[in-house]
Amino acid sequence: MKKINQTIILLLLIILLSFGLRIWQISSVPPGLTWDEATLGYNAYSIIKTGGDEYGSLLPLTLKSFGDYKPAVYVYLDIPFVYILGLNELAVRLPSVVMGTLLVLLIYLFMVEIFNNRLLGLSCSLMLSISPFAVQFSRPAFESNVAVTLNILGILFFIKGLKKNKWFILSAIFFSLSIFTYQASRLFVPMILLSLVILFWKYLMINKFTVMTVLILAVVALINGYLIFGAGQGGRLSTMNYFAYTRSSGTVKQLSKALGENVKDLKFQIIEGEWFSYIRGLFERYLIYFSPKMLFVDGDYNLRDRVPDLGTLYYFSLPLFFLGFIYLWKAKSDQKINSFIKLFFVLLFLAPIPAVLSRDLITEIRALNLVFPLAILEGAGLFWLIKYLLKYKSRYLYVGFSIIGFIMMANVVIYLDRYFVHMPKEYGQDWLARYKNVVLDMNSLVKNHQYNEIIFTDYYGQPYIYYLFYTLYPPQNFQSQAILDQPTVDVGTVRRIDNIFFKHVYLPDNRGLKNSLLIGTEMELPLSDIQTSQNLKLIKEYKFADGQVAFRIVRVE
Amino acid sequence: MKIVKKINIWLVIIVILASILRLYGLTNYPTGLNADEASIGYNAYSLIQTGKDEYGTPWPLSFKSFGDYKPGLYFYFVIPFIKVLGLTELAVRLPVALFGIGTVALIYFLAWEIFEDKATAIFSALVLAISPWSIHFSRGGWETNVAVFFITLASVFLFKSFKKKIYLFWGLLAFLISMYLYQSPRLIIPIFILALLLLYKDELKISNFNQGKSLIKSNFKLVLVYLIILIILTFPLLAQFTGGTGQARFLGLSFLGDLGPKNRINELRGEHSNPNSIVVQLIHNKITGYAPVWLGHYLDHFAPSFLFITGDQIIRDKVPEVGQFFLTESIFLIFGLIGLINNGSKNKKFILALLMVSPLASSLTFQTPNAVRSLPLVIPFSIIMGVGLAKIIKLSPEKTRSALILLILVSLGFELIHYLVSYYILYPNLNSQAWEYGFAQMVPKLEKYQGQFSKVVITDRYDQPYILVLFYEKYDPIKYQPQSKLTKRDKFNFGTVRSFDKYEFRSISPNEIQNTKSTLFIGTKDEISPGSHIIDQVLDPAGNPTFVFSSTI
Repeated sequence: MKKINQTIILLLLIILLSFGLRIWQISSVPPGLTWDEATLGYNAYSIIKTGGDEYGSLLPLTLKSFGDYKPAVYVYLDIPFVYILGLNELAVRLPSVVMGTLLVLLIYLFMVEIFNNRLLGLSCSLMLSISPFAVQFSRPAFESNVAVTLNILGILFFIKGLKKNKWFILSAIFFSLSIFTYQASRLFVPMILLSLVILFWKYLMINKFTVMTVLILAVVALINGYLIFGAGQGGRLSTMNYFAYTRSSGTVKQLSKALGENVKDLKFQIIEGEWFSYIRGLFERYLIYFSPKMLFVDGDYNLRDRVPDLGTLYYFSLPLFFLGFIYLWKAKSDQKINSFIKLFFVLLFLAPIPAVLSRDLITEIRALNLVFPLAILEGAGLFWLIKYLLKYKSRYLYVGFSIIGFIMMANVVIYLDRYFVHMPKEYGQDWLARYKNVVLDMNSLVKNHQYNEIIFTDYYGQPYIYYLFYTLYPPQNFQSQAILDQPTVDVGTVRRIDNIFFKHVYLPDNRGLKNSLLIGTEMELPLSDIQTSQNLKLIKEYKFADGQVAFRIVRVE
Repeated sequence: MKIVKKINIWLVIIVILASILRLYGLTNYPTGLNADEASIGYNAYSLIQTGKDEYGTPWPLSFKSFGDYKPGLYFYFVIPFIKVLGLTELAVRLPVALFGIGTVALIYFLAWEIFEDKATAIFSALVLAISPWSIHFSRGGWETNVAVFFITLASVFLFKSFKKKIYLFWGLLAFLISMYLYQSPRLIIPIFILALLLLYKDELKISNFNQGKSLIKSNFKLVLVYLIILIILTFPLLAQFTGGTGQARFLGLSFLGDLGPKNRINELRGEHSNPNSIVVQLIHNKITGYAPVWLGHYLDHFAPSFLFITGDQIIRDKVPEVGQFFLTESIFLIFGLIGLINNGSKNKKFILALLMVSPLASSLTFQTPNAVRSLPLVIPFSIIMGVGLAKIIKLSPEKTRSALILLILVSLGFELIHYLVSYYILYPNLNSQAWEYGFAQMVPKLEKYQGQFSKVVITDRYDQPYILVLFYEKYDPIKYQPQSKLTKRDKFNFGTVRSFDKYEFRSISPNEIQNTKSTLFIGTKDEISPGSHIIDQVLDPAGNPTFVFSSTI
């Protein structure tokens, strides 16, 4: 009894720690909202106020947004937060924070369910709670993060369903929700469902009713998902898809010249054809998620998906990763839990697949399902290490624990320093850090004086959504003027709200303007031009934390 | 003989395959001869003729080569080949190839000693025989490959020593030989031996074969004699270490010489509001700055992109479009690592130790991943892949097993053909400059024309041209030794020879040719200005001129 209480207290502490790590300074770190975060927030606001999204579609399942048709579940999760807290960074990010914290509880339940070992569960939840990979993606409003928690809920209730069938319904609901939350789930959920059915076929066959429930719900969910996402999606998917990219014609020409063969020859097509180059690419993209260099030193290339200098996981996780793998693989020989551990390995090896099919070499956000099995590996490794140390006499025990504790603490401190001190300073531009200040200042300028025209740069992308977001622009007024300008299959944007134009600022084009505001970048509004021009007046300059100029507001007299 | 029983027809086939892959067209592929190979050849030639190296040092243990000191044993291995075959590309390369073939045979015995499983042993040899990593470094004057042979040999001997103690001596001797062959074993081997002492401390303490007596106690005198011999053999090595010449090169290559992390530390400190506080100094200092950099260099050698996709970055070390191993083998590796977990062999720790130790020397340099310095890795990787392949086949259902084997053979066969096409066709056409192609053709022409000129200027655009001219002219070492004069080391820590006889090696300036009489200029195409009188030229395999001969009329 006493032991259980201790576990619960420890678990609560770990969950509290997770929540702390995920919510601390959440409004200012990361130092700005991404396009998608601003969109999710404003659409939640729009639905609260009008029942429709920014384009006026009533209670949509997908958001047209920038023409990328995002699944909308995140917006609905965000509605209570925006309703209570108003439209701000905290409210936008809270669903992600809450789901990220919930995952720390789920990993404990998952491990206890399978191994019936509380210490192992605690160890895994501790590793997930401090994992840089988890913290990175559960602070900002990433739909991917919510989808991971929904997937794990789906898996957990599936396992529970094996004992008590009614849980299967919940499992099906969570899996379907996941499909409506994030694009990559459309691929991941069917894969994991299929694996679950294969792995637990014996259990499922005991009760035919169960099988039917699961299969029907799964099929319904999938058909729903595909029907809804089928529309308006094809073009963008085909550009984001890995297979849309071939080798450059220069490379192919060089190869064919060196081989002395025509590109169209069968021999060339077999030996040096595109097919083999694709296979090489697929191997590279898949294996990189298990590359120790990537996981522990390099991290993702995208600056929004990392902190400066550090990898995806802690340095100290390198040995834990291997220890955990060995521990779990050995545990597989236990017949009772064999299928469950197999499930773990299936999860580990399936998780990167949605990311492999994307055009980017690494995109951890699409491989975010990995966060769960990786934390289990680390946690199991730590658990094993502790168990190993406990065999020794107390003298060595303390020394051992102190060393491990010190190394872990030191590494956590190094990570937190990078995250909270250096990341906001160095990656300000990638997090679009100055949109807020410039939009709010512009708004007060506009309130005090009637300008003919305002031209706002689109250099940083999607300025309109920041204007809507930070000025709490009434959605009913916007819906009537929401016109998406989408010349290619890639994302489009809205070019005009009232007398504000969102486009490239080019001074020579704007000579005829009078009584207007120009808001542009350093390149668009060079100081030399402003100073030499009679009718231009620099009102304010905005800098990123690294000193680079982000925006200039210039008044045209 | 037990050994004979263990050799089977498959091993013979694999060794024949390995021989074909390592010997076919060895003179012309790789296309050209690089400066290191020419240096090995010419110094061996010089030793045969005069008993001294190119600088007139008699029988050196480490050779001064381009201002760097190279472990010298390989030069001596080449001597008999040059005696028989003359000063040719084949003579320089053949020993490496033969040792490479030998390694394929040896890995079979090593894998057998570790796992006592025939399939694993055969598959390890197969993986090594066809691996691009092993083939590439078996073709060319790569001493490192010979060092790997001796490391493998030593490993086999160490296992034999469990039954017969004398092998312990031979094993340590083979390790020592590898240290006289190449730089990186000098770091790797001592650490490896230490690791083995730790891992096998129980076996060393109480030897089961010795009625409970410790290995060392039971044969005290014998052990003492062997140890003394080994220690004496180590002295010259120690002398080289402390000699300072080796240290200079090491410091030039070390990742610690990279100033990036140091500047980064200052940058990071500057981002704190109080850069000089103790906390900031504890978080951002040399240890936290450089340790991760080292870790990155170390882990580079385990990156999938290095192992299976693009391979080493230096074109001399790789062929286009191929990794160090085949893609198919990445699956073997995964199964192999998993297979090791369940494998009951108590000697698997040996292979894991070799795997972890092998990239250490390479990881201390700033150019990683480096396939040359980390070449010993090819052994543990091949064995683990052998374990994996054996496991895959064992796991497969009986009914589909033959289909699976066929599938594996087809995909490995395809990748082997793809590699050979790359090696024999793409590589010479796209990267012949990496092997300094053209000197073999240029020197005979030089000999033909030089009589008419009092001076010859040869471009230094290609690495160390002087040694290649010496090599292909078979220039008399007695005549050369007094003329040899090395320049000061450049920023990469290399020196070169700028002139001997009537040759000068330097870059050619644009208008020089018109203004200089009775001088033959041999330059690259860009160095010879378009209006010049062109006497002759040498074309590379792709048909572009590598050397253009020019002079005033």
